[in-house]
Amino acid sequence: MKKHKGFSIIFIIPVIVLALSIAGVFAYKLYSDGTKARASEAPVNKIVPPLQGSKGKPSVGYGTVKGPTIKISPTPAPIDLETIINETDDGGEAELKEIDTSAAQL
Amino acid sequence: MLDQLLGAVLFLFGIQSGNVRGDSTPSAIASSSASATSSAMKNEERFRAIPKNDLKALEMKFLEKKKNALRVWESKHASFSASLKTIKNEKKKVLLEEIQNRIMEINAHQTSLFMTVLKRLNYGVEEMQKIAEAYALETGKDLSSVTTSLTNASKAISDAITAVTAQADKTYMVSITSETKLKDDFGKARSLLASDLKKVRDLVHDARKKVGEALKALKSAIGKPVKITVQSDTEAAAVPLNTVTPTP
Repeated sequence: MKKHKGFSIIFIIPVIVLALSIAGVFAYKLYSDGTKARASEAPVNKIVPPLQGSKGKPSVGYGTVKGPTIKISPTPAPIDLETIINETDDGGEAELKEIDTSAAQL
Repeated sequence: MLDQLLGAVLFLFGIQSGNVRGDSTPSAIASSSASATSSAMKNEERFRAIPKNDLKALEMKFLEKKKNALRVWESKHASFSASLKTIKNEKKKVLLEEIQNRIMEINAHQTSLFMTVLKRLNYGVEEMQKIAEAYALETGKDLSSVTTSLTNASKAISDAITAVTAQADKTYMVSITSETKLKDDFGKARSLLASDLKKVRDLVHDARKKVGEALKALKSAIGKPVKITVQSDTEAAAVPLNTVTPTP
């Protein structure tokens, strides 16, 4: 009996089928991701989560908004000593020039 | 003897080594430790000699002078209002009163600004002294250049604070001579205030310069960068929120 050399078709066909199915899965995933992204961009039936820990009612129309307040730290940022050394004082020149313009009307 | 000879030969070739120059001989070790002790003693004396500015007392005095200037201004205001009545033009009358108030405000504002800067500079000097003292204690190195520059900086700050306090006590009044000479009358008060503020500004500038020199001397003595941060809030400057970070 004569022996065949190389790959048999019985082995090649399943490999091709497997490769095509993997490629198909990837292609479908890319397609579905793309459609999901487009759908999320559309402002249809979009649910906005409520503010966490907020107090008061949300504003209706124009008026005073009662809601959570942002607290700014009362401690200012520290300054580097070198910055203080390199600062310049105008000795009130700018302020004096301001009143010069007013004094011109005297 | 052989060590010293070898050291001399290597020294001629430009090679310096602590061991071959005879530094490790008992007499050399004794003399170097004695010099380190004496320089540490000198450092301690020098650090003690740096004048300290009692900022709390100085600031109290400054605020007192500022209040005093306000009291004087209030007492003079009646006579100023009386002299304003000699002006017939109502618009000029209102304008001159506004200008007079602004002159007083400018002096108060500028002196407060100067005082804030001087407080920060003084804090910087104190922190520099702490860093230098710690370094001197650790290494025993002679820090005379640092102590001299810190003394100069402290004195310059003290002089500037004295000038600022004296400036805060001053009142500037526009003395009205006639309605036609209102510009000249204002000009006299304005130029007097400007020249006085310029003198104080120069002293503050000198204090900045001296503190800068002290920082430079400290950096070169230590041989690494020194970062001192001062709290930007003037009231908080006394609170231990300030941080000193000698960077490696």
